[in-house]
Amino acid sequence: MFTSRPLIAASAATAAVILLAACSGADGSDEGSKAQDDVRLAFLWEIEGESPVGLSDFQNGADLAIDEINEAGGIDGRQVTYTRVPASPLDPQASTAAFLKATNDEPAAMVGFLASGQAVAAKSALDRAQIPVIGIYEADDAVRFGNQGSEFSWALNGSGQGTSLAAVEFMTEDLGLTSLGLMGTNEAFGLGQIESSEAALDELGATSVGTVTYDPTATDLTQQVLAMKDADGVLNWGYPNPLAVQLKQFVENGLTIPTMTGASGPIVVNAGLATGKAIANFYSALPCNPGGTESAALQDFAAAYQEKYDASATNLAAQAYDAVYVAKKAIEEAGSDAGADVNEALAEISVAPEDGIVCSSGYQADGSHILNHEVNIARFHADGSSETVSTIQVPELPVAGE
Amino acid sequence: MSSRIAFPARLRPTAATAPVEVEHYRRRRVSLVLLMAVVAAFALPAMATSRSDAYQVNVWLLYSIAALGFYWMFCLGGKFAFSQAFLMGLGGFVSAAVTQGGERSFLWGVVVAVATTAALGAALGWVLRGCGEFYFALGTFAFVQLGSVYVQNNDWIGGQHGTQFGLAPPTIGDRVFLSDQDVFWLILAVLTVCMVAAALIERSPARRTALAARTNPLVSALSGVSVRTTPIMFLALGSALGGLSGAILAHWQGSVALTSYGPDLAIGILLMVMLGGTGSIWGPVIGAGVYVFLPTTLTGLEQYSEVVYGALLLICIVAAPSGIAGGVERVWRYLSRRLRRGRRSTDVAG
Amino acid sequence: MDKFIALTASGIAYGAVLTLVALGFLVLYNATGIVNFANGDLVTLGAYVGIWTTVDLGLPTIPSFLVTLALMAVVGLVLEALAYEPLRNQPALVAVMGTLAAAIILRGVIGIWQGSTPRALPSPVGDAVVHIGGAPIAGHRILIVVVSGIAVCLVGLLFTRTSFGRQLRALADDPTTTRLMGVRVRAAARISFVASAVLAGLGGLLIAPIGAVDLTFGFNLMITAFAAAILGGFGSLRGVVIASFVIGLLQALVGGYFLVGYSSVLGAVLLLAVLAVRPSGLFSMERSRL
Repeated sequence: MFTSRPLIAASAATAAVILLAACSGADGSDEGSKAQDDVRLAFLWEIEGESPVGLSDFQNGADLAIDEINEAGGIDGRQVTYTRVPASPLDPQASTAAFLKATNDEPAAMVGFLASGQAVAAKSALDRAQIPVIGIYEADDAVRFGNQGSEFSWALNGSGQGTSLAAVEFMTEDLGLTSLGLMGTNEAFGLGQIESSEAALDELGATSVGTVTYDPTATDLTQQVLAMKDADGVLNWGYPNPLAVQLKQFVENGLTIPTMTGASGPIVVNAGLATGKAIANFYSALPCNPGGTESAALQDFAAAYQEKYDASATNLAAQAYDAVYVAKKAIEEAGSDAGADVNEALAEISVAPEDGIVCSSGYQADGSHILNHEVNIARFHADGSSETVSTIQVPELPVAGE
Repeated sequence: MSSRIAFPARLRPTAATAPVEVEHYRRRRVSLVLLMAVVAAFALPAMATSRSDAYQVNVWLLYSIAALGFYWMFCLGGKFAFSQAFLMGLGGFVSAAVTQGGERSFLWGVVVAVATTAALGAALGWVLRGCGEFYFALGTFAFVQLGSVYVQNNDWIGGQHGTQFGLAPPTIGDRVFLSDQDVFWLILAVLTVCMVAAALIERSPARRTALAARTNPLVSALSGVSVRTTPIMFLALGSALGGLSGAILAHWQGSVALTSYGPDLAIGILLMVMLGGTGSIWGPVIGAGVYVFLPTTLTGLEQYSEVVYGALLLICIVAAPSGIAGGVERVWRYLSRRLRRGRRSTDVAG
Repeated sequence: MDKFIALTASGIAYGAVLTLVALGFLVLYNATGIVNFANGDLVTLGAYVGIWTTVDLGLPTIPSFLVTLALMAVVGLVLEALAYEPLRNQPALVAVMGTLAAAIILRGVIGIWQGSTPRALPSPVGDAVVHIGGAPIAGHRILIVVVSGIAVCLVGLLFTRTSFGRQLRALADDPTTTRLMGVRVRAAARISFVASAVLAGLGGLLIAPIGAVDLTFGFNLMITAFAAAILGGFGSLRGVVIASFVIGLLQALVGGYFLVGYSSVLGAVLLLAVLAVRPSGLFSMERSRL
């Protein structure tokens, strides 16, 4: 006989939960208070707990910028409101759907996409929606304008190529190292960065003692560490977890040579994944380093962030903060809320510290739609503190294929 | 040593783990598919009022094609393969490689993608032909790991470390499918063809042979049923649908990235079929719909959305172990029984 | 020579952790006939609970480990009650789907509790390094081998010297007859879930100090341990132990000398090769028992 009780109970529970979900956000997104005359923005990222990679830093940094802008009178006297739509960097299809959902509100610009793959997958959707998206990712070759980058997608952080070049330049010219070892994950990010590091080594006349890759989830890098024994220094393009493994295994093997990485560096140090001797000779090539800066503006940002959220400001929060100010400047220059006008302005504008940004000395788009052309080298100390030891200008990139 | 008869693994009865509710003769399926296609053609564009809805409907229909392929290999062939998501991606990569430079058309790309994934499915089925359910699943997972490394390290297929871009939009003759609304018609047509094929298979001897081979391999083997080639055939067919779906998806989006076809989607496809229903060709379509639309509905719950999503899945599995399609069928049977009984008692009372 | 020693030590340590997680699969599979998809998330949870007790509560190592394992036992019981018991009479794959849904819930709960930023669990032996034949070996890797060895011995005793062990072996051999003989299947399932969760938690506690813990920490370990369980034949304690060490050493040595960077796929190559010629694993159930 058909037993209806579990089914009825389950149906009731399901209906209740879906109703709850529907009630908790009209269209499943966060919104600031909205009025007819507001300037609308959209944020495309998840917050802590929404997925295994969701972090609240971006939202916090952007919120801080919105508060400041509104307190100072908004954009051309109009208040700024926003919609946040969770866009998963792990699922490009769902991420494109999130972008399209955000377009329903017809924002003047969007800030978000935390991985270049999201912008690559959403190219045709971006082209059709005609709303600019300022992504907070390091641009790889695929996402450059001229390849699979839309006319409407912009990369705030600079390019992976630029980061590799700056990292190699610092290791060879500032630290005077001649034999570098290359490490990285055996997937798109690691392999791409290794390739551009090899090109940079060639360009700067340094030699590579070897290249080794590893799985992004590796918990043992004995073979890779042993392969680096003859190097003067190592560039490791990996995620925080295997990077921590490498740093610890360097200490176990008595290797004290410098290690340079990208944006994973501050996470390794701030979360205490590696400590003491393991990070005593550790560097990171970053768009921004709020933890160890001499810039007064960035220090003020870090203090305001600490006060508001009772947490240390990360480079991710500072980049989201800057991205909002870049959007503000573009809307002001366009003199319009229309996405296409704002997009045109983004191609022309030059955003300077007096416009409110804190991470870079200026943002200006190149032919590949990359906005930042500056890489900060952060050095970490055994006690977990850091300092920005160099700021390197990297060349602008033309439209891909030209 | 065990005193019972030890059958080779491939001949052990698997009824204890078979999720299929066996119903041997199915009719009137093709007309229902066509009817539903007509309903979808009118209803879905009307219901998808926003850009995001239109986009998600396309993703739903494409995932339905891949999930239908998984239904063939899993529910008919009895093979629990983790390879379907990877084969979707591979379909996109193969089509990208074939159509690169614009010398060959979209249709060529799709045909080669389908043929390649079907051949790989068959090869995988043959290599792992003797394996039981979970063993087979992990064997296919190992294949995916190897395949992913190959694609990532070979430019001719994997482009830039597993990302191919610049694919031409789907084109048939002079008709270019550019917008999401255009692509909807193409995908709906392809899904309809696949569903008609599925409906024909449902009433064909091939399905009966497959069910016999998976529920009691020993008796089937003794009765002359080929217990080895039947699952391999369904694996090849199912993999071909994975390749087909991935190739269309890649051309629609203009790019294909390996990271989109990882373990999350592999488990997702399994969820689609199990949740939708393993006993009906409508199960994969329903399950894919739930997989695509449920998380979007739950985003308002913010950090609680994942827990609630898991809890809803668990509730669905407990309440309707044969999937939503199976649950609907049970409710339908129950209601019609009650209705008949009601009529009879009214007749008696009257 | 020191390279060989270092690589061998790393292979043995990895094999030891694989053994623990694979044994969790084995115990559960033999008692219930299902594969637990939540095993990877149980490994992750074990590591996070360890961080909570050690770093956040400041408990000393041994009490912290004991509290963690006790909590994991409770989680095992809850998992059995919510995700397995309601589906016990369904086909095994439906019950497997139940564990998959449980895995999603578990990951979501850990995400709400701990967030997405990776965290570190300090090793009980600190940064100690032991030199063997000139090769530096992290003290923590030696600890992993010792603790895993003790755990495997305890599981072996559980299988061979207790009534539960006899019931488990009977269930693995002939589930129907065992049920007809009056063995309490529900109790066996409960104990198996507890044992499996404790073993997974111990695996998490041991591997966490090597690197860092995040929400996807246990997934890869689960897949490799699953491969070890399959290579071992899913029916043999000895088989699973041997298979785990074969995978660990293969990855370390072949990966270290010939295919640096590809070590993670060597297990996959081995698995495909073995399944092609021996579809029931190296130690198939017909030939060996728990």
